[in-house]
Amino acid sequence: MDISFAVQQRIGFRYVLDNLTVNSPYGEEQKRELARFLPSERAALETELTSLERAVAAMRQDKPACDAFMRQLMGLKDIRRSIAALAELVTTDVELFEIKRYLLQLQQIQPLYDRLSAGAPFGGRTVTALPDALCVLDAERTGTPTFRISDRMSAALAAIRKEKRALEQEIRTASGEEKERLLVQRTGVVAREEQEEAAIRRSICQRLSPYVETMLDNCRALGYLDLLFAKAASAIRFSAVRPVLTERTLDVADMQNPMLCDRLAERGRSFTPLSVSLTAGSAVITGANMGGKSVALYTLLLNVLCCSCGMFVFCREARLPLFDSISLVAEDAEDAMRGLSSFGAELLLLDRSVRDAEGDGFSLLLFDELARGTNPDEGAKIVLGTVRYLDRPDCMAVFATHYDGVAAAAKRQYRVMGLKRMDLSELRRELSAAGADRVAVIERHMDYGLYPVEGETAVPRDALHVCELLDLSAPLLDCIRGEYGARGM
Amino acid sequence: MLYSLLRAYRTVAFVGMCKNAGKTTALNRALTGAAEDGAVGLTSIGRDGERQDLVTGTKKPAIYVRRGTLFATAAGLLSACDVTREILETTGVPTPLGEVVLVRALSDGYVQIAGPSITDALPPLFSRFFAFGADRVFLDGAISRKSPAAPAVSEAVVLSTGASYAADLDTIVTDTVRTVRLLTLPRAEGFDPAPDDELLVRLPDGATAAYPRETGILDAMRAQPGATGVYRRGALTDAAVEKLLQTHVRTEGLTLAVEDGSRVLLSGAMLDKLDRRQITLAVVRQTTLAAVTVNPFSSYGLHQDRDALKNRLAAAIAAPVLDVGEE
Repeated sequence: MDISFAVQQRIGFRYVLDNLTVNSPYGEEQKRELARFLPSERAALETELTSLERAVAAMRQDKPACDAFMRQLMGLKDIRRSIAALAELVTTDVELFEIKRYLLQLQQIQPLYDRLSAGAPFGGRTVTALPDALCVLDAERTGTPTFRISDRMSAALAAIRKEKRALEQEIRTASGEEKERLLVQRTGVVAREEQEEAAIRRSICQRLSPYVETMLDNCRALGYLDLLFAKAASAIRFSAVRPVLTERTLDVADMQNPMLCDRLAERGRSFTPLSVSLTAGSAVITGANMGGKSVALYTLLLNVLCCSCGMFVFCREARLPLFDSISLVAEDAEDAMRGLSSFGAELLLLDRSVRDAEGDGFSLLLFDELARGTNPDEGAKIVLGTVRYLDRPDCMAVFATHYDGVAAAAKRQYRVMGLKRMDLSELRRELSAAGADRVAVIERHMDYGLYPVEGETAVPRDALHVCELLDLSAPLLDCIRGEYGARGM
Repeated sequence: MLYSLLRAYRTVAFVGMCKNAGKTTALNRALTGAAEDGAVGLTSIGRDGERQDLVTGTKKPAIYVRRGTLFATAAGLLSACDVTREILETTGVPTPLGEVVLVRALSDGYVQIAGPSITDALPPLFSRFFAFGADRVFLDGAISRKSPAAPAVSEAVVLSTGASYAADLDTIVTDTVRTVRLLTLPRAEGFDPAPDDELLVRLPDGATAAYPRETGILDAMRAQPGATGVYRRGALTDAAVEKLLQTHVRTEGLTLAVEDGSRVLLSGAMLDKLDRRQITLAVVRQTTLAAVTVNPFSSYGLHQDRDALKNRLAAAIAAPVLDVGEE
């Protein structure tokens, strides 16, 4: 994954992954190896999304079979090392026990899976029970999950064990030197028993070796299905929808971010759905402080990532392209701590992202308050230059910024509404009643919606409003207001 | 003889005062006795059962089980067991020698046992033994493990002691008697701690007040001047008790309670001090000391007189004292 863990965490992608509950070590592995589909793999992604759609339908229509299937997956252990030992003809009893148990599990899983997949395996992955292999390990046809090298597997073994048992019976009542002698004699019989058992284990391996590939295929298929059904459960839980894949346009209606939705819900609030339409080139999101520009950017990135990883997206409707490279440029605390100033670190990140985007293919670049660490005059120029440079057909670049005059250079402009449509005097009354918890009141009255803007380029001036509403000390406020007057604002 | 003392218990732990105290001999005797009386489940805390002592290099007896015995040991030790076997279950409990595996012995023979090293893994394992048809479970509390956990998870304990413990008889007797005392502490009346209770103070009217562990015994006592007893979860060390003794808090008649005898890690000197201050140690979960076995032979050459050792211990200990070699 080309998106760092810290960013995955910040945008809520980790949260989505943490809510993908897989049941088996094979599913766990698939989840760890989850990767983006690139534009060249679009057909494969379509197949994956179709499988996911079917899995969602199966979960809705036949929940008992789904639950039973997943319970079976829970019982799986990673026994690929035991299978590998089989291929090399050296196994222990415990390994054979595990293989037998696995083969018994396959007997249970296959009919459940056949019922769920109704003859059309998800993603072409089949689960194949191996009753003939099971017979090799279950000589007595007991169907129990325990394992022993049975007397029936060789007449020689049966004879040796009979001899051993007779000796042991004698040892029970013998004492002194007689007992010592019998114990020594027993050692010889034990050696022969072990030798015969080893030969039988080897022959079991040989008889099972034709099934090794199918056993491993089953492991892979079960891992795939485990993750697929985890994705389906998550899609149902978060009401996610199948995205429509596009070439180079992006249209999302009412995007959500599960992590933020859940966090806001804990505080009794709700997430404002966001809608965006983009084409190749630059787009700018402007808006007041506290208005949710970063949230818009993160939520967009989250949904793009989920789509490209073969998951459903958290939108009412979504049409999304695939990208060869994806980057988020944001002030990164980690880099700042590595000794670079935050501004320096940010510029290096900018450079790397732009270079990544230079290659063939289609890129997504997201900028969260680029150059906020430098003076506003130069910062605005850096942003403007970058907006212009990236306004081209081989990438989508989205800038969240509050710098003036930047939007004009972009193809599209969005604004987070902030406090703009509020009746300020009414809000003031509410604030004075709220006492200490003013920030919460302001948050409640923010309009976090994302609105397309045509033509207008001035960034909304909410900062002074926020200063006033938070009731900064009067002399300080006067001074700040004076500065606004001096500059003719 | 030994087994007849154990027949009444579902779970019995075997612990030794030291290496070569005769614990494995005692275990073998019990196994032989029990074999006539149903299926035995066998496991250990940590590793035991080698024929040569891995630490001292001295020869020691191996565990020899009867057909039908269930045992739980590390997968890596199965090749060192010479019984014909059936693998029943893997447990998911890890050890340095591989996962603990549940096995049924289909013949008599030698086994090497390395069970879970974590006490918490034992009760679920015991349940599996019973589910597979064991009538009783023997737990081999490996070397120097008499203070940790083995007695805590079993109904009864067999303590083995012997000439290998110390060169002089007095030391053997004194220390064995002290260990016996800790294994047979009285039940702490009036305490019924919930699993997450850390510190409880018993009031004169029989009620108890709960405190967080950080409070410490002393501060809890100060908060409840009339307290008649204190229960604290976890190990009871000299340091924890010392503070109490140095203050003027009234301690006469006080009960100091722990979960079970294995939690008492007090020095002999501290135990004497508690006696002088009339503080009683007690346990919430009592185990029974079913027997003490003695081994007059020392693996270091300093043997003790068979009768002297046995008789002196028998005079000082209420539980039956047996000579493992004599049976």
